[in-house]
Amino acid sequence: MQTAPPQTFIYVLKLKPPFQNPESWDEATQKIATDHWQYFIDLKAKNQLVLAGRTAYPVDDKRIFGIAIIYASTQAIAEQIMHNDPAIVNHLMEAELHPFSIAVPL
Amino acid sequence: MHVLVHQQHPSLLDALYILQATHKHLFNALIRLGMLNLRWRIALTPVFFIFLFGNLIAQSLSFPRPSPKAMVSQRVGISDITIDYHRPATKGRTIWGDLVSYEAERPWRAGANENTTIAFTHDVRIEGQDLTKGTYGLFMIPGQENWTIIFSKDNTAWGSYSYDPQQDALRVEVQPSTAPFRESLQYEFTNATDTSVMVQLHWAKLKVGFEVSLDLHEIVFERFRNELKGQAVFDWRNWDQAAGYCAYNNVNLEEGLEWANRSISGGMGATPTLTNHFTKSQILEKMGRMDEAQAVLEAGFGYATMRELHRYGRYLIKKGRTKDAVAVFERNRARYPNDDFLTFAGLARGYEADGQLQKAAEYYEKAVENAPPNTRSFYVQKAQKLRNTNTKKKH
Repeated sequence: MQTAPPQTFIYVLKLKPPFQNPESWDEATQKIATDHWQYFIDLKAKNQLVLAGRTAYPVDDKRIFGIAIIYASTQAIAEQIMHNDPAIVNHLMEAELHPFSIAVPL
Repeated sequence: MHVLVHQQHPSLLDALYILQATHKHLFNALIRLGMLNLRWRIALTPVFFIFLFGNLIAQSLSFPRPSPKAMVSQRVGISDITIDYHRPATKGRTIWGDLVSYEAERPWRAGANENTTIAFTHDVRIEGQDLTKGTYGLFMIPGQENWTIIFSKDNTAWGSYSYDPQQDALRVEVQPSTAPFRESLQYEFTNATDTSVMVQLHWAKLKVGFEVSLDLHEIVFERFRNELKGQAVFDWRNWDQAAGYCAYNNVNLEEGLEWANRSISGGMGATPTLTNHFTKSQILEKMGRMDEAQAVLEAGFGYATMRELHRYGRYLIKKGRTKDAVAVFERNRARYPNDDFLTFAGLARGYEADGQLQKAAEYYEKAVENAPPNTRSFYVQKAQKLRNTNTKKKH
Protein backbone atom coordinates (compact mmCIF):
# COMPACT_ATOMS: atom_id res chain seq x y z
CA MET A 1 0.00 0.00 0.00
CA GLN A 2 1.34 3.40 -0.94
CA THR A 3 1.20 6.16 1.65
CA ALA A 4 0.58 9.76 0.65
CA PRO A 5 3.62 12.06 0.81
CA PRO A 6 3.77 14.22 3.94
CA GLN A 7 2.19 17.66 3.88
CA THR A 8 2.82 20.48 6.30
CA PHE A 9 0.22 21.93 8.63
CA ILE A 10 0.28 24.53 11.35
CA TYR A 11 -1.96 24.68 14.35
CA VAL A 12 -2.28 27.88 16.28
CA LEU A 13 -2.93 27.49 19.98
CA LYS A 14 -4.65 29.96 22.29
CA LEU A 15 -5.25 29.66 26.00
CA LYS A 16 -8.92 29.19 26.84
CA PRO A 17 -10.28 32.32 28.57
CA PRO A 18 -10.25 30.98 32.16
CA PHE A 19 -6.53 30.23 31.83
CA GLN A 20 -5.69 33.70 30.57
CA ASN A 21 -6.07 34.53 34.23
CA PRO A 22 -2.76 33.70 35.99
CA GLU A 23 -4.78 33.09 39.13
CA SER A 24 -6.25 29.96 37.50
CA TRP A 25 -2.87 28.29 37.10
CA ASP A 26 -2.29 25.65 39.72
CA GLU A 27 -0.34 22.41 39.91
CA ALA A 28 -2.85 20.54 37.72
CA THR A 29 -2.67 23.22 35.01
CA GLN A 30 1.11 23.15 35.16
CA LYS A 31 1.05 19.35 34.72
CA ILE A 32 -1.05 19.74 31.55
CA ALA A 33 1.46 22.27 30.22
CA THR A 34 4.30 19.82 30.91
CA ASP A 35 2.44 16.99 29.15
CA HIS A 36 1.83 19.36 26.22
CA TRP A 37 5.60 20.00 25.98
CA GLN A 38 6.36 16.29 26.21
CA TYR A 39 3.84 15.62 23.46
CA PHE A 40 5.84 17.88 21.14
CA ILE A 41 9.03 16.03 22.04
CA ASP A 42 7.27 12.77 21.22
CA LEU A 43 6.09 14.14 17.84
CA LYS A 44 9.59 15.41 17.08
CA ALA A 45 11.07 11.98 17.79
CA LYS A 46 8.61 10.48 15.30
CA ASN A 47 9.50 13.11 12.68
CA GLN A 48 5.98 14.52 12.82
CA LEU A 49 6.96 17.93 14.19
CA VAL A 50 8.92 20.66 12.44
CA LEU A 51 8.89 23.06 15.37
CA ALA A 52 6.71 24.30 18.19
CA GLY A 53 6.83 27.33 20.41
CA ARG A 54 4.94 30.28 21.81
CA THR A 55 5.12 34.01 22.13
CA ALA A 56 7.02 35.02 25.26
CA TYR A 57 4.18 36.95 26.89
CA PRO A 58 2.63 36.21 30.27
CA VAL A 59 -0.63 34.28 30.21
CA ASP A 60 -2.78 37.35 30.80
CA ASP A 61 -1.30 39.22 27.84
CA LYS A 62 -3.82 39.12 25.02
CA ARG A 63 -1.04 38.72 22.45
CA ILE A 64 -0.05 35.28 23.75
CA PHE A 65 -0.36 32.35 21.33
CA GLY A 66 1.54 29.20 20.43
CA ILE A 67 2.15 27.31 17.22
CA ALA A 68 3.06 23.80 16.16
CA ILE A 69 4.17 23.07 12.60
CA ILE A 70 3.59 19.42 11.85
CA TYR A 71 3.94 16.87 9.08
CA ALA A 72 0.98 14.64 8.21
CA SER A 73 -0.04 12.70 5.12
CA THR A 74 -3.62 14.02 5.23
CA GLN A 75 -5.58 16.82 6.84
CA ALA A 76 -7.52 14.24 8.86
CA ILE A 77 -4.30 12.89 10.37
CA ALA A 78 -3.11 16.44 11.11
CA GLU A 79 -6.41 17.10 12.89
CA GLN A 80 -5.97 13.92 14.87
CA ILE A 81 -2.48 15.01 15.94
CA MET A 82 -3.87 18.38 17.03
CA HIS A 83 -6.80 16.87 18.92
CA ASN A 84 -4.49 14.45 20.75
CA ASP A 85 -2.42 17.33 22.11
CA PRO A 86 -2.84 17.15 25.94
CA ALA A 87 -3.48 20.91 26.03
CA ILE A 88 -6.53 20.34 23.77
CA VAL A 89 -7.62 17.07 25.39
CA ASN A 90 -7.60 18.74 28.83
CA HIS A 91 -9.29 21.96 27.64
CA LEU A 92 -6.37 24.20 28.56
CA MET A 93 -6.08 25.58 25.03
CA GLU A 94 -8.06 25.75 21.82
CA ALA A 95 -6.48 25.43 18.41
CA GLU A 96 -7.08 26.00 14.74
CA LEU A 97 -5.45 23.97 11.98
CA HIS A 98 -4.26 25.36 8.64
CA PRO A 99 -2.41 23.89 5.69
CA PHE A 100 1.03 25.42 5.77
CA SER A 101 3.84 25.85 3.33
CA ILE A 102 7.42 26.21 4.49
CA ALA A 103 9.30 28.82 2.47
CA VAL A 104 12.69 28.51 4.16
CA PRO A 105 13.25 25.35 6.19
CA LEU A 106 15.20 25.22 9.46
CA MET B 1 6.30 -19.78 -15.02
CA HIS B 2 7.77 -18.91 -11.68
CA VAL B 3 4.81 -16.75 -10.91
CA LEU B 4 2.54 -19.76 -11.34
CA VAL B 5 4.81 -21.92 -9.25
CA HIS B 6 4.81 -19.25 -6.57
CA GLN B 7 1.08 -18.82 -6.62
CA GLN B 8 0.01 -22.44 -6.61
CA HIS B 9 2.88 -24.37 -5.09
CA PRO B 10 4.82 -22.23 -2.64
CA SER B 11 6.72 -25.30 -1.48
CA LEU B 12 8.36 -25.57 -4.94
CA LEU B 13 9.56 -22.01 -4.65
CA ASP B 14 10.95 -22.91 -1.26
CA ALA B 15 12.83 -25.72 -3.02
CA LEU B 16 14.23 -23.29 -5.58
CA TYR B 17 15.65 -21.23 -2.78
CA ILE B 18 17.47 -24.20 -1.40
CA LEU B 19 18.89 -24.87 -4.88
CA GLN B 20 19.82 -21.25 -5.28
CA ALA B 21 21.59 -21.21 -1.95
CA THR B 22 23.43 -24.50 -2.50
CA HIS B 23 24.10 -24.71 -6.28
CA LYS B 24 25.06 -21.06 -6.73
CA HIS B 25 28.20 -21.69 -4.70
CA LEU B 26 28.88 -24.96 -6.51
CA PHE B 27 28.64 -23.33 -9.93
CA ASN B 28 30.74 -20.36 -8.82
CA ALA B 29 33.38 -22.75 -7.52
CA LEU B 30 33.38 -24.69 -10.81
CA ILE B 31 33.82 -21.45 -12.78
CA ARG B 32 36.67 -20.34 -10.56
CA LEU B 33 38.39 -23.68 -11.05
CA GLY B 34 37.99 -23.37 -14.84
CA MET B 35 35.91 -26.52 -14.90
CA LEU B 36 33.08 -24.89 -16.82
CA ASN B 37 34.05 -23.62 -20.24
CA LEU B 38 32.32 -20.74 -22.04
CA ARG B 39 29.87 -22.99 -23.89
CA TRP B 40 28.65 -24.52 -20.61
CA ARG B 41 28.45 -21.12 -18.95
CA ILE B 42 26.24 -19.79 -21.75
CA ALA B 43 24.09 -22.88 -21.57
CA LEU B 44 23.69 -22.61 -17.80
CA THR B 45 23.06 -18.85 -17.67
CA PRO B 46 19.24 -19.13 -17.97
CA VAL B 47 19.29 -21.68 -15.15
CA PHE B 48 21.21 -19.23 -12.93
CA PHE B 49 18.91 -16.46 -14.01
CA ILE B 50 15.87 -18.42 -12.91
CA PHE B 51 17.53 -19.46 -9.66
CA LEU B 52 18.76 -16.00 -8.85
CA PHE B 53 15.95 -13.80 -10.08
CA GLY B 54 12.91 -16.07 -9.96
CA ASN B 55 11.97 -14.72 -6.61
CA LEU B 56 12.30 -11.12 -7.74
CA ILE B 57 10.07 -11.76 -10.74
CA ALA B 58 7.55 -13.52 -8.56
CA GLN B 59 7.57 -10.82 -5.90
CA SER B 60 7.29 -7.91 -8.29
CA LEU B 61 3.87 -9.15 -9.36
CA SER B 62 1.12 -9.12 -6.77
CA PHE B 63 -0.87 -12.31 -7.10
CA PRO B 64 -3.07 -13.66 -4.33
CA ARG B 65 -1.05 -16.01 -2.14
CA PRO B 66 -2.34 -18.99 -0.23
CA SER B 67 -0.90 -17.53 2.99
CA PRO B 68 -1.75 -13.84 2.79
CA LYS B 69 0.55 -11.19 4.15
CA ALA B 70 -0.40 -9.46 7.39
CA MET B 71 1.02 -6.84 9.67
CA VAL B 72 0.11 -5.97 13.24
CA SER B 73 1.43 -3.13 15.27
CA GLN B 74 1.04 -2.08 18.86
CA ARG B 75 2.19 1.01 20.71
CA VAL B 76 3.52 0.49 24.23
CA GLY B 77 4.06 3.83 25.93
CA ILE B 78 5.77 5.75 23.15
CA SER B 79 7.39 2.73 21.51
CA ASP B 80 6.06 0.68 18.56
CA ILE B 81 6.16 -3.09 18.06
CA THR B 82 5.40 -4.32 14.52
CA ILE B 83 5.06 -7.91 13.34
CA ASP B 84 5.20 -8.65 9.62
CA TYR B 85 4.09 -12.17 8.70
CA HIS B 86 2.06 -14.44 6.45
CA ARG B 87 -1.04 -16.27 7.59
CA PRO B 88 -1.15 -19.96 6.68
CA ALA B 89 -4.53 -21.71 7.10
CA THR B 90 -5.14 -25.13 8.66
CA LYS B 91 -7.27 -26.37 5.68
CA GLY B 92 -8.25 -29.43 7.66
CA ARG B 93 -4.66 -30.40 8.41
CA THR B 94 -3.22 -31.29 11.77
CA ILE B 95 -0.90 -28.42 12.56
CA TRP B 96 0.92 -29.01 15.81
CA GLY B 97 3.25 -31.97 15.89
CA ASP B 98 2.47 -32.75 12.26
CA LEU B 99 2.57 -29.92 9.69
CA VAL B 100 4.68 -28.02 12.22
CA SER B 101 6.83 -30.80 13.57
CA TYR B 102 8.00 -31.04 17.15
CA GLU B 103 11.15 -32.77 15.91
CA ALA B 104 12.20 -30.66 12.93
CA GLU B 105 15.90 -30.07 12.27
CA ARG B 106 15.43 -26.35 11.81
CA PRO B 107 13.32 -23.87 13.78
CA TRP B 108 9.90 -23.00 12.39
CA ARG B 109 9.51 -19.68 10.55
CA ALA B 110 6.55 -18.78 12.79
CA GLY B 111 4.33 -18.02 9.80
CA ALA B 112 4.63 -18.81 6.10
CA ASN B 113 6.66 -17.72 3.08
CA GLU B 114 9.26 -15.07 3.96
CA ASN B 115 10.73 -14.68 7.38
CA THR B 116 8.28 -13.49 10.01
CA THR B 117 9.83 -10.32 11.40
CA ILE B 118 9.30 -8.37 14.59
CA ALA B 119 10.49 -4.78 14.90
CA PHE B 120 11.00 -2.68 18.02
CA THR B 121 11.54 1.07 17.86
CA HIS B 122 13.22 1.04 21.27
CA ASP B 123 15.27 -1.30 23.42
CA VAL B 124 12.94 -3.81 25.08
CA ARG B 125 12.93 -6.72 27.47
CA ILE B 126 11.56 -10.05 26.26
CA GLU B 127 10.38 -12.22 29.14
CA GLY B 128 12.68 -10.07 31.27
CA GLN B 129 15.75 -10.34 29.01
CA ASP B 130 17.27 -7.35 27.21
CA LEU B 131 16.92 -6.99 23.44
CA THR B 132 18.27 -4.01 21.51
CA LYS B 133 15.88 -2.06 19.25
CA GLY B 134 15.76 -3.22 15.62
CA THR B 135 14.08 -5.68 13.26
CA TYR B 136 14.52 -9.38 13.99
CA GLY B 137 13.67 -12.59 12.18
CA LEU B 138 11.23 -14.45 14.43
CA PHE B 139 11.67 -18.22 14.69
CA MET B 140 10.20 -20.78 17.03
CA ILE B 141 11.09 -24.29 18.11
CA PRO B 142 7.75 -25.84 19.03
CA GLY B 143 7.46 -28.60 21.61
CA GLN B 144 4.81 -30.48 23.53
CA GLU B 145 5.59 -28.70 26.79
CA ASN B 146 7.98 -25.86 25.98
CA TRP B 147 8.62 -23.60 23.02
CA THR B 148 11.78 -21.69 22.26
CA ILE B 149 11.27 -18.24 20.76
CA ILE B 150 14.25 -17.05 18.73
CA PHE B 151 15.00 -13.46 17.75
CA SER B 152 17.49 -13.62 14.90
CA LYS B 153 19.58 -10.73 13.62
CA ASP B 154 18.95 -12.17 10.14
CA ASN B 155 15.53 -10.79 9.17
CA THR B 156 15.62 -11.25 5.39
CA ALA B 157 15.71 -15.02 4.97
CA TRP B 158 13.11 -17.11 3.19
CA GLY B 159 11.52 -19.35 5.76
CA SER B 160 14.08 -20.98 8.00
CA TYR B 161 16.20 -22.78 5.38
CA SER B 162 19.11 -20.44 5.91
CA TYR B 163 18.54 -20.07 9.65
CA ASP B 164 21.90 -19.66 11.35
CA PRO B 165 22.08 -19.99 15.16
CA GLN B 166 25.13 -17.69 15.10
CA GLN B 167 22.73 -14.89 14.23
CA ASP B 168 20.62 -15.40 17.36
CA ALA B 169 20.17 -12.20 19.33
CA LEU B 170 18.03 -13.84 22.00
CA ARG B 171 16.29 -17.11 22.85
CA VAL B 172 13.54 -17.39 25.45
CA GLU B 173 11.59 -20.40 26.70
CA VAL B 174 7.80 -20.16 26.99
CA GLN B 175 4.86 -22.51 27.51
CA PRO B 176 2.02 -22.89 24.99
CA SER B 177 -1.63 -23.07 26.02
CA THR B 178 -4.79 -24.42 24.44
CA ALA B 179 -7.11 -21.91 22.80
CA PRO B 180 -10.34 -21.77 20.77
CA PHE B 181 -9.87 -22.96 17.19
CA ARG B 182 -8.56 -20.40 14.71
CA GLU B 183 -8.37 -21.33 11.01
CA SER B 184 -5.57 -18.94 10.01
CA LEU B 185 -2.47 -18.14 12.00
CA GLN B 186 -2.69 -14.77 13.68
CA TYR B 187 -0.49 -12.63 15.87
CA GLU B 188 -2.20 -10.50 18.47
CA PHE B 189 -1.32 -8.20 21.32
CA THR B 190 -2.97 -8.71 24.70
CA ASN B 191 -2.73 -7.26 28.23
CA ALA B 192 -1.28 -3.98 26.94
CA THR B 193 -0.18 -1.47 29.58
CA ASP B 194 1.95 1.68 29.36
CA THR B 195 5.09 -0.40 29.75
CA SER B 196 4.33 -3.96 28.59
CA VAL B 197 2.31 -6.16 26.28
CA MET B 198 1.91 -9.87 25.51
CA VAL B 199 2.63 -10.91 21.93
CA GLN B 200 0.56 -14.03 21.14
CA LEU B 201 0.69 -16.39 18.20
CA HIS B 202 -2.70 -18.11 17.81
CA TRP B 203 -3.30 -20.91 15.29
CA ALA B 204 -5.55 -23.96 15.29
CA LYS B 205 -6.15 -24.76 18.97
CA LEU B 206 -2.94 -23.35 20.40
CA LYS B 207 -1.64 -20.07 21.69
CA VAL B 208 1.93 -19.23 22.54
CA GLY B 209 3.27 -15.87 23.55
CA PHE B 210 5.94 -13.81 25.21
CA GLU B 211 5.95 -10.61 27.20
CA VAL B 212 7.56 -7.48 25.79
CA SER B 213 8.30 -4.78 28.33
CA LEU B 214 10.22 -1.54 28.20
CA ASP B 215 11.45 1.24 30.39
CA LEU B 216 9.17 4.12 29.43
CA HIS B 217 11.09 6.66 31.48
CA GLU B 218 14.37 5.74 29.79
CA ILE B 219 12.80 6.39 26.38
CA VAL B 220 11.54 9.77 27.54
CA PHE B 221 15.00 10.65 28.89
CA GLU B 222 16.63 9.63 25.63
CA ARG B 223 14.35 12.10 23.85
CA PHE B 224 15.05 14.83 26.40
CA ARG B 225 18.81 14.34 25.97
CA ASN B 226 18.38 14.52 22.25
CA GLU B 227 16.22 17.66 22.35
CA LEU B 228 18.46 19.38 24.85
CA LYS B 229 21.28 19.29 22.31
CA GLY B 230 19.24 21.27 19.79
CA GLN B 231 17.59 24.66 19.85
CA ALA B 232 15.71 23.82 23.05
CA VAL B 233 19.02 24.31 24.84
CA PHE B 234 18.54 28.09 24.73
CA ASP B 235 15.46 28.26 26.93
CA TRP B 236 15.64 27.64 30.68
CA ARG B 237 12.06 26.39 30.58
CA ASN B 238 13.02 23.31 28.54
CA TRP B 239 15.73 22.31 31.01
CA ASP B 240 13.26 22.90 33.80
CA GLN B 241 10.57 20.79 32.12
CA ALA B 242 12.99 17.88 31.78
CA ALA B 243 14.11 18.26 35.41
CA GLY B 244 10.47 18.56 36.49
CA TYR B 245 9.66 15.23 34.82
CA CYS B 246 12.34 13.59 36.98
CA ALA B 247 11.06 15.27 40.14
CA TYR B 248 7.42 14.47 39.41
CA ASN B 249 8.10 10.80 38.66
CA ASN B 250 10.90 10.42 41.24
CA VAL B 251 13.27 8.93 38.64
CA ASN B 252 16.68 9.76 37.15
CA LEU B 253 17.28 12.25 39.95
CA GLU B 254 21.03 12.73 39.40
CA GLU B 255 20.57 13.77 35.78
CA GLY B 256 17.43 15.73 36.72
CA LEU B 257 19.53 17.72 39.17
CA GLU B 258 22.03 18.50 36.39
CA TRP B 259 19.17 19.69 34.17
CA ALA B 260 17.77 21.85 36.99
CA ASN B 261 21.21 23.39 37.55
CA ARG B 262 21.55 24.02 33.82
CA SER B 263 18.18 25.78 33.83
CA ILE B 264 19.27 28.08 36.66
CA SER B 265 22.80 28.93 35.51
CA GLY B 266 25.82 27.82 33.56
CA GLY B 267 24.82 28.18 29.92
CA MET B 268 23.02 30.06 27.19
CA GLY B 269 19.42 30.77 28.11
CA ALA B 270 19.86 29.83 31.76
CA THR B 271 17.75 32.11 33.97
CA PRO B 272 17.31 31.86 37.73
CA THR B 273 13.61 31.82 38.64
CA LEU B 274 11.55 30.56 41.54
CA THR B 275 10.15 27.92 39.17
CA ASN B 276 13.48 26.24 38.43
CA HIS B 277 14.69 26.66 42.02
CA PHE B 278 11.50 24.99 43.14
CA THR B 279 12.10 22.10 40.71
CA LYS B 280 15.64 21.73 41.99
CA SER B 281 14.46 21.76 45.60
CA GLN B 282 11.91 19.04 44.75
CA ILE B 283 14.66 16.85 43.31
CA LEU B 284 16.87 17.42 46.35
CA GLU B 285 13.93 16.53 48.59
CA LYS B 286 13.40 13.27 46.70
CA MET B 287 17.12 12.57 47.16
CA GLY B 288 16.69 13.06 50.91
CA ARG B 289 18.83 16.22 50.96
CA MET B 290 16.25 18.24 52.90
CA ASP B 291 18.45 21.07 54.17
CA GLU B 292 19.83 21.78 50.69
CA ALA B 293 16.30 21.63 49.29
CA GLN B 294 15.14 24.30 51.73
CA ALA B 295 18.17 26.50 51.03
CA VAL B 296 17.61 26.29 47.26
CA LEU B 297 13.94 27.19 47.68
CA GLU B 298 14.85 30.18 49.85
CA ALA B 299 17.35 31.31 47.22
CA GLY B 300 14.62 31.00 44.61
CA PHE B 301 12.39 33.48 46.45
CA GLY B 302 14.96 36.14 45.60
CA TYR B 303 14.04 35.76 41.92
CA ALA B 304 10.31 35.18 42.35
CA THR B 305 7.83 37.05 40.24
CA MET B 306 4.36 37.78 41.55
CA ARG B 307 2.91 34.99 39.42
CA GLU B 308 5.47 32.46 40.63
CA LEU B 309 4.84 33.29 44.29
CA HIS B 310 1.11 32.98 43.70
CA ARG B 311 1.54 29.60 42.05
CA TYR B 312 3.80 28.40 44.86
CA GLY B 313 1.20 29.48 47.42
CA ARG B 314 -1.44 27.47 45.62
CA TYR B 315 0.90 24.48 45.55
CA LEU B 316 1.23 24.73 49.35
CA ILE B 317 -2.56 24.82 49.73
CA LYS B 318 -2.81 21.66 47.67
CA LYS B 319 -0.24 20.03 49.95
CA GLY B 320 -2.30 21.02 52.99
CA ARG B 321 0.37 23.45 54.25
CA THR B 322 -2.13 26.27 54.68
CA LYS B 323 -0.14 28.35 57.22
CA ASP B 324 2.91 28.29 54.88
CA ALA B 325 0.61 29.21 51.99
CA VAL B 326 -0.76 32.23 53.87
CA ALA B 327 2.83 33.31 54.64
CA VAL B 328 3.74 33.11 50.93
CA PHE B 329 0.65 35.09 49.86
CA GLU B 330 1.38 37.73 52.51
CA ARG B 331 4.97 37.89 51.30
CA ASN B 332 3.69 38.37 47.75
CA ARG B 333 1.42 41.23 48.84
CA ALA B 334 4.26 42.87 50.75
CA ARG B 335 6.58 42.60 47.76
CA TYR B 336 4.03 43.89 45.25
CA PRO B 337 1.92 46.39 47.25
CA ASN B 338 0.67 48.17 44.12
CA ASP B 339 -0.87 45.06 42.56
CA ASP B 340 -4.63 45.24 42.42
CA PHE B 341 -5.69 41.67 41.66
CA LEU B 342 -3.42 38.64 41.90
CA THR B 343 -2.05 39.26 45.39
CA PHE B 344 -5.59 39.88 46.71
CA ALA B 345 -6.83 36.68 45.08
CA GLY B 346 -3.87 34.80 46.61
CA LEU B 347 -4.60 36.10 50.10
CA ALA B 348 -8.26 35.20 49.66
CA ARG B 349 -7.39 31.64 48.69
CA GLY B 350 -4.84 31.33 51.50
CA TYR B 351 -7.20 32.60 54.22
CA GLU B 352 -10.03 30.44 52.90
CA ALA B 353 -7.86 27.32 53.01
CA ASP B 354 -6.74 28.25 56.51
CA GLY B 355 -10.33 28.67 57.72
CA GLN B 356 -10.14 32.47 58.11
CA LEU B 357 -13.35 32.93 56.17
CA GLN B 358 -14.14 36.55 57.06
CA LYS B 359 -10.74 37.71 55.83
CA ALA B 360 -11.01 35.46 52.77
CA ALA B 361 -14.35 37.07 51.78
CA GLU B 362 -12.86 40.50 52.24
CA TYR B 363 -9.98 39.74 49.87
CA TYR B 364 -12.20 38.02 47.29
CA GLU B 365 -14.20 41.26 47.20
CA LYS B 366 -11.01 43.26 46.67
CA ALA B 367 -9.96 40.88 43.89
CA VAL B 368 -13.32 41.24 42.09
CA GLU B 369 -12.70 44.86 41.17
CA ASN B 370 -9.78 44.13 38.88
CA ALA B 371 -10.32 40.48 38.01
CA PRO B 372 -10.34 39.65 34.27
CA PRO B 373 -13.94 40.33 33.18
CA ASN B 374 -14.71 36.75 32.15
CA THR B 375 -13.70 35.41 35.58
CA ARG B 376 -15.19 38.14 37.78
CA SER B 377 -18.35 36.18 38.62
CA PHE B 378 -16.18 33.43 40.16
CA TYR B 379 -14.80 35.83 42.80
CA VAL B 380 -18.21 37.42 43.42
CA GLN B 381 -19.74 34.02 44.12
CA LYS B 382 -16.83 33.00 46.31
CA ALA B 383 -17.19 36.15 48.44
CA GLN B 384 -20.96 35.75 48.74
CA LYS B 385 -20.68 32.11 49.71
CA LEU B 386 -18.13 32.86 52.42
CA ARG B 387 -20.20 35.77 53.77
CA ASN B 388 -23.27 33.48 53.93
CA THR B 389 -21.28 30.80 55.72
CA ASN B 390 -20.12 33.38 58.26
CA THR B 391 -23.68 34.63 58.81
CA LYS B 392 -25.00 31.09 59.35
CA LYS B 393 -22.23 30.44 61.88
CA LYS B 394 -23.18 33.57 63.85
CA HIS B 395 -26.82 32.45 64.02
